[in-house]
Amino acid sequence: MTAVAEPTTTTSSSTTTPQRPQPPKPPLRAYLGLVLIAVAAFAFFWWTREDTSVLFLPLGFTTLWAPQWPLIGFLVMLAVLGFCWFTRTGPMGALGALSVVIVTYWAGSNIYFLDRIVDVPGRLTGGNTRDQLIGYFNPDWQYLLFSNVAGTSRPIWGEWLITLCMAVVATIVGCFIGLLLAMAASPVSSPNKATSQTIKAANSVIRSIPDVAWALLFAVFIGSTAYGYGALAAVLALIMFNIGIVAKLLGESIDAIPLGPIEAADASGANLLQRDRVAVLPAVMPSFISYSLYVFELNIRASAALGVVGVAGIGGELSRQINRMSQGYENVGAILWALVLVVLLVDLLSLWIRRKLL
Amino acid sequence: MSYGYKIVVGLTGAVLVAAAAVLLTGAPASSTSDVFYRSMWGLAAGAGVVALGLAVYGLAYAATGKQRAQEAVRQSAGSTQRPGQYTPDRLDMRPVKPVKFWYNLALISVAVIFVSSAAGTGMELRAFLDMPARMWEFSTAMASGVFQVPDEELQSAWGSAFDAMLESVAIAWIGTLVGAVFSLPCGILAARNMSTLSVYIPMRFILSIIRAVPEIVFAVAIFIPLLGVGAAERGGAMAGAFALGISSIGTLSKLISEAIEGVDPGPLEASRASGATHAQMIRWAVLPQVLPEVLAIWLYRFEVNIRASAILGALGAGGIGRLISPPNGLFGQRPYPWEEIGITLFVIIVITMAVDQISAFVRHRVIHGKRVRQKKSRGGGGPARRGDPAGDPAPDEGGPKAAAVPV
Amino acid sequence: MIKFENVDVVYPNGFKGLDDVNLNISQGEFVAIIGLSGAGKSTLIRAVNGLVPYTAGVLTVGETVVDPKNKSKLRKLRSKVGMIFQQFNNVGRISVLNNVLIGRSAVTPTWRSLIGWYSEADKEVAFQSLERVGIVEKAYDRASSLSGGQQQRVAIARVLAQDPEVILADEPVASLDPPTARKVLGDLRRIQQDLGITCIVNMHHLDLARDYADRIIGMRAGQVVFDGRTEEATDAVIEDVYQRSLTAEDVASLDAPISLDDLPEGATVEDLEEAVAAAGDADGKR
Repeated sequence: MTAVAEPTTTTSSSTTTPQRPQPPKPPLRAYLGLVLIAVAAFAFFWWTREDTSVLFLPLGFTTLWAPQWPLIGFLVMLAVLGFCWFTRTGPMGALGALSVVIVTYWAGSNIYFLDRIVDVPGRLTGGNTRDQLIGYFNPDWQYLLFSNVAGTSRPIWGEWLITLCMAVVATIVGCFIGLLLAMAASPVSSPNKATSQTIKAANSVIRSIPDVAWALLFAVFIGSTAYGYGALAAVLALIMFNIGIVAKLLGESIDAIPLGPIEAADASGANLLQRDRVAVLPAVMPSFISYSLYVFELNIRASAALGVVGVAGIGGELSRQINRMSQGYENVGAILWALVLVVLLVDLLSLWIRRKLL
Repeated sequence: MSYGYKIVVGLTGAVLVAAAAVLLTGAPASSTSDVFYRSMWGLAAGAGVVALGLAVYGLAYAATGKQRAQEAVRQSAGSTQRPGQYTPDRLDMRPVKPVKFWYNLALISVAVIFVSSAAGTGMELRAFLDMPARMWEFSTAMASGVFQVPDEELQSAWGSAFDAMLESVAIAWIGTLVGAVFSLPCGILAARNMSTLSVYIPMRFILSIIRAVPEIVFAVAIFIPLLGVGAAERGGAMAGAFALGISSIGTLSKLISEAIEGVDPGPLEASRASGATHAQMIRWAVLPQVLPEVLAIWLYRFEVNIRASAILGALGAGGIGRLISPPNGLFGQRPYPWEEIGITLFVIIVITMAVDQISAFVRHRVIHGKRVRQKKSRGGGGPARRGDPAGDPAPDEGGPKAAAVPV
Repeated sequence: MIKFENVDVVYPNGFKGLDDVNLNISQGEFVAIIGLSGAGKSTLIRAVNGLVPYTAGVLTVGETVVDPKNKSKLRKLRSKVGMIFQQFNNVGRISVLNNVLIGRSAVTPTWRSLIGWYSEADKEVAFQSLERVGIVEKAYDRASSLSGGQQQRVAIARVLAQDPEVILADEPVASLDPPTARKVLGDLRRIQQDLGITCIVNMHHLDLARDYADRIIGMRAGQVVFDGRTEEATDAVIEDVYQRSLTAEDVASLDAPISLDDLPEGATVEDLEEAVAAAGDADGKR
């Protein structure tokens, strides 16, 4: 029943055609280089290890020893290389696999992966982890709906409103600026190469600064000194965050639009702005709307998180509650559950708008 | 063709919205929340402007009513084509411009909502007056931190910035790895052409739940209690990594399932026709097609996770966020250590961009194979673009595949 | 009207697109350019409106010398030289009317096109061009909702809205099925004769070129190897242009609803034309 050729036909065909092509062998030299890389990584991990446990290998006349985890990592690296050799992967593929192992080892040791994992059962049984988890799953809705922000007369639900307002304002302004920047940054629609390269570079700088850092910077630039910076810092930070995302994603869309209409606009004597308006903008409009909605969803999440650094909105309240967590976890739980709910609602809303529009 | 009723409806609606907003400013809720109060006033102002505009338009429309009636008679007479009577001229063959009512309404509501929310945030634009001077002052201080030969103190600033940023990269890497491990099976199960409906629907549901939960919720509510908080050796980094990893699963699986749904169905049919089991089909017909794209999606998520790890750090989950955010970070000190902040930002920018570049290179390599970077000489300057000797007017399709557009 | 004097085009990668081309095209002529792919047909056409900059010689359109360096002069020139493309190059997501109004870009102030508020005069011109190509009833439809032939008519209307002195057409019918191709070319020919516009058309299809053009220019490897009235373009001459004997492909439409495999071995051009015509009829009846 199987479609595989019978053994007899295989042998007969091999006798008639003795020159069967062998699977290509990867170059041995490249693999030796990869082994050298693995050895170097082993040495580096040995040198930087913090865990001092050691494996002994008694050989009778002498006892070899090696640090436990770097040695295991090294063996894994060799195993991966062996597997790649066995499956005749090209040297680049093998290098990829090897670097994944090396980076994973490095990252894991950097964040104390195993120590923490081993620790989990102990934390679950003792300490306040259990209380915390129980608290989060018994949120205090009374607090969320009826109490005020500590020390003020502002109700908690008003903070939700301010978060939504910030997200709306930042989305609209940020997406608009992002659209302009994307236009200027794409070689398709920008006046010249220098402009597009400059804007692209500026854009990747904007994008690489995380939104928390933007919020902190703007809070200082605006001149607030303490907690409760007001919404302006958060809005500005979100705007920068949005500019980065929209300009990047939309830039890719602009790069990929069909060039025909642009050429047609050129041929009918349109100048650059006219060309961008009539030929580029309509082509990217659907993706622009889609990205704007996506960015709006992100903004809700981000503005909740930005409050952590002290700006207005529900995030500020969240961080205040986290700081006084010793008084109980129910308030934090309520905010988190409500956050999930709000994000879910916003997702549904934007899904609905997407369906309507596109 | 009467738009009169639409104008009336719009006008009434706008007036009602404005009136309701004004009334709500007096409601008990507004006495407790000034956000609500302000945004209601904003809403009232926006709706009022719209109502005014509509009123002016409606007046103009009413004034031209007679003319339009005559026009309508003329056109309807033309359309019947009776001999001896009016025959339509060229102008009447032209279509009437359709009115994009909902489109306009949507635009107007976006504008009104914008005004209302801008009022609601209570931003004081006065703050912009002082901002340029401060920005200049602080930026020069930051730049001087970066561009001077570091003394003892700044050397330690460079060191700690690098350590924290590398920790962020490590968090993002482990997070992506966790996400990647789970997302491939989840993505396969959530692809319509790979799984049965009874698996597909719950899988989709679970994934959309995961996507709806922000990372900070995972971090604060689950992983910080489980794995610890604070510096890396106390578990903050692990908490961040796992929070990122779990929340990556949602997006990654969705993108992967979309990639799988987009595969060429031919090989699937062929392997099914030759009696392959489901697993064999996935291994030999699906994975070879989607693996480059899946790798690109993972790498893209890695870039996203590096940025996301910063905000988790601000919550106490390790990485660069912990270094900068108050109360213990750089921004918590007084006076602000601008030189160190400048150095930290510089390190963030450099490492993020470097990782982006590497990841972009690998993604490109994985998707397009050995060919090193297509020359992007098209567009822009005009003269240089028509490089292909055949003079073929059809452009090369699409350029690099926009593999991982997050949705 | 259009004068090539020793025009060379060398691409940045060193490829020679045009090699010492000398041509003189007079007002109101309908010129068809034939040749193999890569022979420089597109380059020739695109040199006229500066989409491809020429590197040596002098190229004159009307009174003006084409100057690829001077962008504003080039835009002025382009406003008088319309261009039609193989892929229509309409913007799919905007209405037909807005597509036609792209042709008015050169005479519309930039701010007006930015907010999409065109003057009544511009709209009148656009409507008239749509009427001329006979699809005015589609004016507010999305361009992407039209069929290929209609799309190419929109493109022609866009060009007419420019009020051009010269129309350049780069394989205008290569993406259309044969009957539609004939209709569109017929429209173009009629409009060109009505308005006295000079027309330069690239073609793959020899039969269409013979039916519609006043003059045929043959190109090979960037050089003009034949230039004469349509009557002079005998099969022998064309074979010289193509450097091989005429095969069925040279006269067949690429999208013909018949397959070359269906023809008997050693079929002549006439056989093929018959087959195409028959298939076209069948198409029409369907």
